[in-house]
Amino acid sequence: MTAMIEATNLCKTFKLGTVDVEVLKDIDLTINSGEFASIMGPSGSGKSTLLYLIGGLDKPTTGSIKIKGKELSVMKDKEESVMRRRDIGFVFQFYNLIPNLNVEENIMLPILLDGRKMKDYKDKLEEILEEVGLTERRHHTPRELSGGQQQRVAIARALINEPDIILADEPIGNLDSKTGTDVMKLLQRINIKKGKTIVQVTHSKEAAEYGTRTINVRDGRICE
Amino acid sequence: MNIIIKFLLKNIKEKKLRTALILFSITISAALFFASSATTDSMVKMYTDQIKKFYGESEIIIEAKDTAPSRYFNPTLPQEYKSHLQYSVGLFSGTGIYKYKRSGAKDENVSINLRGIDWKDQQIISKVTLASEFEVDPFQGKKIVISKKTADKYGLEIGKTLELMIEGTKYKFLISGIAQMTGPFTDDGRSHFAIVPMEILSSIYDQKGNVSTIYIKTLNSVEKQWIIKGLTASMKKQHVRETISQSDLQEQTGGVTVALSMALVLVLFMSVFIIYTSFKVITTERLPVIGTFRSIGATRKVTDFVLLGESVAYGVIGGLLGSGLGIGILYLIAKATTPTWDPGYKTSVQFTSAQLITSFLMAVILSLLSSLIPILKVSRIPVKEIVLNKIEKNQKGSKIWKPILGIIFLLAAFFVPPVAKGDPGILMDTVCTLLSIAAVILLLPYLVRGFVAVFERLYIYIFGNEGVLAVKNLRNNKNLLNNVSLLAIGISSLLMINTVTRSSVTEIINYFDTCMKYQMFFWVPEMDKSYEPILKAVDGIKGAKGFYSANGIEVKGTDKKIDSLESANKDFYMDYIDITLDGSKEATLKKLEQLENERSIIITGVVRNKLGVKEGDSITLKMPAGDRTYKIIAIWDSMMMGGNYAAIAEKYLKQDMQSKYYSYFAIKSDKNPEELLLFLKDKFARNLANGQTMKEIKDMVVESNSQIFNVMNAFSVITILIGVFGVLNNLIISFIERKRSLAVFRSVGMNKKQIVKMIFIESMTGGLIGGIVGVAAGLIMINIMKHMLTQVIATIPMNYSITMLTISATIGVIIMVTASISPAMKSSKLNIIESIKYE
Repeated sequence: MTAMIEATNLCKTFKLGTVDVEVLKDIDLTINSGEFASIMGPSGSGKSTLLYLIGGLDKPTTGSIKIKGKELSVMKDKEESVMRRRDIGFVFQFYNLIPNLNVEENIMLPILLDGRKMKDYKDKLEEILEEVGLTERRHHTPRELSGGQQQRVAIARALINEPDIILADEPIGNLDSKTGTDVMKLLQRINIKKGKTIVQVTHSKEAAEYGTRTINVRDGRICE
Repeated sequence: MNIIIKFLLKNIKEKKLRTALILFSITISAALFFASSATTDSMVKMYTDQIKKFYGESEIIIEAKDTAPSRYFNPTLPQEYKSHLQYSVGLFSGTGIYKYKRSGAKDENVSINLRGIDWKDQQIISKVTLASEFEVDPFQGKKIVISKKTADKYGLEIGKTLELMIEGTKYKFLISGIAQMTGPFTDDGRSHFAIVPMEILSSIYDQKGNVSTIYIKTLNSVEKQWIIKGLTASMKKQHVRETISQSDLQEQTGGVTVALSMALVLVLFMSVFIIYTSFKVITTERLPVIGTFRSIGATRKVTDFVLLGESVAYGVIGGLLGSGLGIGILYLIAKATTPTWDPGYKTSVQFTSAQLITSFLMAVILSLLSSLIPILKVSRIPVKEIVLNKIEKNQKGSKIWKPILGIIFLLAAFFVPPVAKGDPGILMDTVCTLLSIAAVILLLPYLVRGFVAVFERLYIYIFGNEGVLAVKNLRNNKNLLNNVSLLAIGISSLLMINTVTRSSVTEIINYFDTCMKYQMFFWVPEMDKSYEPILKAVDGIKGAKGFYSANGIEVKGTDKKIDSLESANKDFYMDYIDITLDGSKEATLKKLEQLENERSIIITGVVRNKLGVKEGDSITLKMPAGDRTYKIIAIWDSMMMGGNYAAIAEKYLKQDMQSKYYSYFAIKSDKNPEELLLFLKDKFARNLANGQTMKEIKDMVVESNSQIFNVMNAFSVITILIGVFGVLNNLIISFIERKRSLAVFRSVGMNKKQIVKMIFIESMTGGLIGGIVGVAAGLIMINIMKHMLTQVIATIPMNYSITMLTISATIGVIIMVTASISPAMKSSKLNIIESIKYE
């Protein structure tokens, strides 16, 4: 098993007014290829911060993060962006789709940002639309979709570039239980069938059960 | 409640730049509203001030009619009116020639307009301030008061004598006063003026006891019309009229008033748009807090009230600032429209407190009404959606009535102006201009979709995928659409005003350069046919033709006047003027023959529109010989005499107007017109000769029009300027609303450079679309203005310049790209997590 994500001595401090708040304290974490890890913990424990640091959306105060063996802290904006579109797929609680783009365009966004042509990825798109069950809704805009459908678009977007890692922040936090179950099954299928490494942040024990590993974060520390 | 108000006040204070932007929009709107409403009054004041220098506060003027046997008459007024008058002052006008001896050069004959008047009477009607005096009191015998300008120019000194030739005899006057250049001595740049005792001047003219003019001021101005009517009835040989008539004022200020009203409509339209979009910024920014306040129990009424209160506060501050700024702009407009060819006009501003209050209230109402829609929209959003930040999803799909209404407006703007005639036509044309702007706003989302489809295919090759994403972002982004609308309105106004003004000036120049085939007007009092051979004998004169003309002829059954009625004969029209009637020279000749043979009339297109008549109709003119009916045999599209012009046969004009003398001679020459005119003035100095070269008239007309056009152009620039601020506002709101989308772009791998590139392409494309739509809307508005001008002045061919069209479209791109620098930089520095999680 190869290490997909490696965090060493990871610390993150935020300034809250004049006070420094230590959100993550000396975190050491390794997530291997093909794992479906669920980070759990109470509100304010630092779980989402950990996910964003892994995804390169934020910088650690100290410590290091390696994605597929590459150190994030030495990466420039351009390299980091390339990593985000090629190696990582993000799924957010509030879906975060671009309202002006339709389903197809939203899914193809990472391809477009990578400077590649949409027409070269037609088959891939068909396959993913099939996978997430949105073939019929491909020309709709996000506001014409239900929450569950929007989340499936977000998952499809995270998959289009075939990244090795999928990071999901409360992926079912905004969905009803039935839709939530469908989404979790989809993620599980992706993990098993495609061998993708998935890291999700969740409050839900049920959601965590779809994963292969649970990481508990409390007061900025991991207590597995 | 207090906490909410405190919070909002704090927000206003913290967002200094935003507050400044909103206040700027309201201030400019109020200022322009005030300036344009007060400009007409200021122009009236300037015009009346200029006239008052001669008339003072007099309300009625009595002069001999053209048909009277003598221009002098007995000043005794009917007894019954005397008790109703504050004063009645008679004066005697004459002319003296002063021979100015120049060393080493030919003597110069200087014509001086003499006013014979009792000194006390002069002080009553218009005060004279003396720079120096010598035995001016008692003002009797051969004494004269000259102007400082005359004294300085010819080296005349107080206490010395001045020799004048009056009625062929030389008289020596004692210079007993040198007057400052005020009142009747105000410089008109052309003539010299002096005051002598009335008794002496009337004696010289052998008219002792008679006057040439009476000035009257009533005790109660309400009785003015009654007195004019009564005096007209009892003084058959004299013309009794108002010193300043409403129609004169209308004529003097009408053009500017119409132009400013049109420009104001555009500015107000723009302002409403700006304030509306500004308040969208405010409500969007305040939304999360409004949600919080509402979630903890504040009612909709409370939050609405506070937001409306904020808009009123902006209105009040903007209104106050706008009123102050408006006075400054008013002064600039007044300065720009002050005739520079006549030093008698002094720049002055006139406004009333009512206008200031109205502008202030307009600012408050404008702010309140424009902010109402965004405030009510926010008010209707359920608290839950605000708190959960689900507002984006709430946008409704496009409404079918919008494009339908847009197309109807567009069709109206195309097809109504050609058929709209007369005064209602002008109103309809104004409405059509507004409809064309409304059509742009309504149709823009659909036009943008079309543009996006084209640009998408194009940009993939030019800008790559970021270009494609950028145009896709334009599709349903309301703020970017607002920006395109603002640019389109601003650019169309700029293009329309610029093209119309440029075309008008070109047309005026063309008229003088090609239509008029003679080089100068020349006149002396009481000219008849005997002057023709004399003038023709002058070296350099190739042709001279006398004209009869009459001004302000009333058309029976209407309240309209023909400004200039001239005598016409076939030879003159063929030789001196480039006229084409009914499309060919043969037809023109036929019409001119018809004109000579029957009581018929040729009118211009402007007169046709003004009277609502057509070829073949008859009109009855009120003439000194009685009412006379003329058949309209041709309509001439010409700028002749500003367009309000008609011609009848010479014999009928002489007969019906009872004209004895020519009004002027048209002179053709192959010599330098300026030199020839100087020569003629000198040669006929004893006959009080005067004249104007065509170039002088052209320059004067071009300059007077240019001044109005400069004001119009300034308005269009201000419209664009307001547009720029609107664009800035919209880009800020767009940035706020799109923060999350931009963060998503970043989270899925868009780098900072790509973000900046995408935003710039978006802005450039928006600017380009705004420019293109603006040019298209501008062309529609130009077409409307063309029809409007046909009603008011004449048919003016519009000169479209490709350069101007290109510049207009480029302005859009420059504005948008420049305004997007700040949002682009902010976007690249965006905190991704904060923006994504800000719900």
